Amino acid sequence: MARFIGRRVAWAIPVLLIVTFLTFWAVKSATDPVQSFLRINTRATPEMVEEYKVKHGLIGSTPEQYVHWLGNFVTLEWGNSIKGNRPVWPDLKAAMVNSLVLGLTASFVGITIGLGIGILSALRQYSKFDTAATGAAFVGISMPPFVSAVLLQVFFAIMITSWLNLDKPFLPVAGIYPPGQTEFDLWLRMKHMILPVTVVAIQIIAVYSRYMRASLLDVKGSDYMRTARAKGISERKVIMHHALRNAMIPVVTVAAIDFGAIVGGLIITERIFEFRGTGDYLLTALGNGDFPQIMPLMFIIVSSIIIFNLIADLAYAWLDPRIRLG
Amino acid sequence: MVDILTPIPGDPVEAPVLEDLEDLTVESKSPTQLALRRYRHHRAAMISSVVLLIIALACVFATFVAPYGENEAIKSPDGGLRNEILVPPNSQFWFGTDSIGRDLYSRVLYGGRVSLFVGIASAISAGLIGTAVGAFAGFRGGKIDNGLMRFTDLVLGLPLLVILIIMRLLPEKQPWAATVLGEPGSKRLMVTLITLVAWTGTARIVRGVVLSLKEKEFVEAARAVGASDKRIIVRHLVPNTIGPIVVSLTFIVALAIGLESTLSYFGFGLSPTQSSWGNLLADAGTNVITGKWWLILFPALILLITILCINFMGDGLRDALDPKQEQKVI
Amino acid sequence: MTLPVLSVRDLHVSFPTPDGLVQAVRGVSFDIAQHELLGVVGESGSGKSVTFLAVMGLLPKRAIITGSIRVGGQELVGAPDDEVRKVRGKRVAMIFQDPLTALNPVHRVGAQVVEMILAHQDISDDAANAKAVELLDLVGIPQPDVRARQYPHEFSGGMRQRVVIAMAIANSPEILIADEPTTALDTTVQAQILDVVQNVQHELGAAVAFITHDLGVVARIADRVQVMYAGRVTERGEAHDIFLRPTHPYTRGLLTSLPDANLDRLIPIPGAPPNMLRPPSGCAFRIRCPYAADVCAGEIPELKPFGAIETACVRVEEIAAEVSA
Repeated sequence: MARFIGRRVAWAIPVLLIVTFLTFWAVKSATDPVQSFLRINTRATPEMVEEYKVKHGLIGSTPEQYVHWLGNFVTLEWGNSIKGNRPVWPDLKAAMVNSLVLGLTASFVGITIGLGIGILSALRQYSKFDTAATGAAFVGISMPPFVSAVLLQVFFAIMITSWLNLDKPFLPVAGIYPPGQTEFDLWLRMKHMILPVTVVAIQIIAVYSRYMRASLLDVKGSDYMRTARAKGISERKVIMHHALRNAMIPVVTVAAIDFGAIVGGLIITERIFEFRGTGDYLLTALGNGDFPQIMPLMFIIVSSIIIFNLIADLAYAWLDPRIRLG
Repeated sequence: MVDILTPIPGDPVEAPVLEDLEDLTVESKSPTQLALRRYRHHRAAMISSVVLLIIALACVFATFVAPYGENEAIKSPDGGLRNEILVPPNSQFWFGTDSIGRDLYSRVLYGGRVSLFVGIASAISAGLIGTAVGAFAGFRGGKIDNGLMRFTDLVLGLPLLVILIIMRLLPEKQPWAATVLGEPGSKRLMVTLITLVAWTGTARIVRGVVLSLKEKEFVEAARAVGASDKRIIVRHLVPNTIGPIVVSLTFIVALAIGLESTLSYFGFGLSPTQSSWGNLLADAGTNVITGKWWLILFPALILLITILCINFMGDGLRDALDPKQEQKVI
Repeated sequence: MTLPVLSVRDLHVSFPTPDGLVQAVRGVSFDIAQHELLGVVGESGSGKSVTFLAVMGLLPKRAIITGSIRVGGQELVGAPDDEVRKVRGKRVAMIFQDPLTALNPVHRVGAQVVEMILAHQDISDDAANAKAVELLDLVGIPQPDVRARQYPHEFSGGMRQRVVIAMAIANSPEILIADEPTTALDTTVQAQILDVVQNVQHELGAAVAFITHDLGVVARIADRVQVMYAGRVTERGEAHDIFLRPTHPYTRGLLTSLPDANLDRLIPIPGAPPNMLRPPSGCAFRIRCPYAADVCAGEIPELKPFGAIETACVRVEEIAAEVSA
């Protein structure tokens, strides 16, 4: 088992470096920091441009630039953004916190409900509940998140408000707090999260319910289920101890991978609800070509994904003894 | 955040508890007939096929079906321009008009062409690449297979939209990218980008099928009779992979349409002159807040219904062509 | 004459399917006594497995079951679920065909045996663990204490099947049903497993139903043999009687079709098993029977004694005369 872990970890590090290097190259090509610098500072002299280039290690070949950037990244010298010349870290930190809160809440809500529906669907296959849940799940999967986001916005902020003749929107549709709020207010925070969380949770519920249903149905038809029943134990025990235990394995692995993506935020949802998370941050930065803002975040995202992929592998091995010797 | 590219395992058709039961009813029907029968059983898929056919035909023949032109700003009878003030319960403009006075219904029809084209083209190219890679990985096995699978894992894991946006920006800044991938805002670029992220699903599925088939006895039997590798692939493996490939392609179409509309909505997709459904929704944008709900509702509904139908059809095809689905998760 | 431990009378099992009602078992009756091993033989589709799954109460809810199944006097057909559950695993236990898939891959082997024990015995966990190790030892697994903590995929096919047997006998059942336990194994391992089954029967004094399509296996271990075809019993008797002097044309056909090195060609029974949605009228075998006559299409033949054997063939006397002529 230790060898298994060791091998996986050893793989992860070169992969991390290679992928982040490729990302570096891609982002640089896609945003061209020098050009962006010139765009913002239209009256920069050639000396200033040179100084900028030197300061940000934009000289030499791409691998050299990467190494230079990596050095700065690791020593936490992330510099300032091109637009507005603001330190990168504080803004990024705030964005990450928001995304994590949104992502974790939505995941928790979505996965619990999704698994529950999936399990019930599988246990009562072809029942009315199952048909309804399946239909709903298909709708959830088929609806691109920006559509559900906009529709919910329209409905809750505009339609209901006008039907009930309120002067403020029934549910807030923008921002983490109402404009002007600077202190931490739990109730307001939660109120502003309701719609974004719902949008994300819809997708999660749809996917996880299908996944769990399929996994459980797959397991339900296995021979060892018949053996378990042949022992004369209660049906509840058969389901919990044998069926679920096996059916959860692929689900847990997928969930682990999904968790790795949380830190990357949700571009669509955050943008539509003006929720200042990493997705929104990234979208803006890409739009501006703001290289110093983009790269650190990309590195964090890639690392997170690779790490959680690793965790998923380990979880799979822990849950399924057949994998351990592989 | 939710990984929609991992093939969602389908529902195993209720497996007979007893092997005997299958042997008790000996019916001789060809596999195609059986598949058709299973597909017809899937009510949602049948309904979806009809609905989708209607939509597709309407869009393809938009020139004949649409009452107005794609970019035609309709003038009011007294000479001025008619604007977005029009409401749909209108017998003339079924979906209302937009801020420039164009008939939304016509634009939806024309937009369907674009969206459907992107969807199908992406599916075909992603399918081709995915099949080739997957078959190669599955057939060769070993390190090559391992390496390729880890690679696809990684591609699947990275945030989809981010990759697409970055890649979308490339052709803007780098001329070589524009020649290779396509001009920014073009359909070609969109198809290329979607293909680059969507092939992994098909690759996984094909690899899984090939791996499991490799071990089956009929392959051994073929070898024992002296069949060459190529003959085995063509005669034995390919016919068995067609089913899962078709299913995978169907889902990619749905995915592609969704992706295109999302990217277009945020301005990273097709150029605004092309009236794809995503662009229509982008146009709607701020007008919604002022109460012009039809600008959002109709494109959104059409988008949703189309994707939903495709997904249902994919599910039906899966039941029909792949009744004993192997669940390969990792 | 010992009292039968398992007594089945006029068992009918049908399954509603989209194509119609599949009649898997169409009136089967038999007894098995203590210490007796009944070999149940038949092709796929003969209803042999379904019959015993009905005895275990393991058929899906939609199955329609009529008739009587008595375990030591207790009626199981129509009995409430929790009563049946108490019997299942305790008084009647089953060994399944494919040991690879019969065991849960994520649970340790010892734990799976313990689960069987604790389902019906109110003892401490430690006592159950100890008992599990004992059982593994009984079926011939070396180093049982070490292997009890291993997972199924770490065992070979034969060893796995021994585990399955250990599990089945954990509560000293009165009836042991073995559903083709050797079919998925190598021939050399088959012999070992047969030994284990016989030992176990000897230890427990259980009534054993051994389902198989392999006549060689039956010849080796069965006391009595029951041949089934198309959901009915066609012939039944002592093993050596059935093998040496078969009376039913189907049994004759089975024995003749055994591969023989002296022959140039195999002699199969012509035709295929019938469609159980619409079984043929009268004797279901008549379509493939070389001795079929008009009378065979009439009533479904009942098992009647013919010498020391029971046969379900209306022409049995004529055929016997023909054959010896």
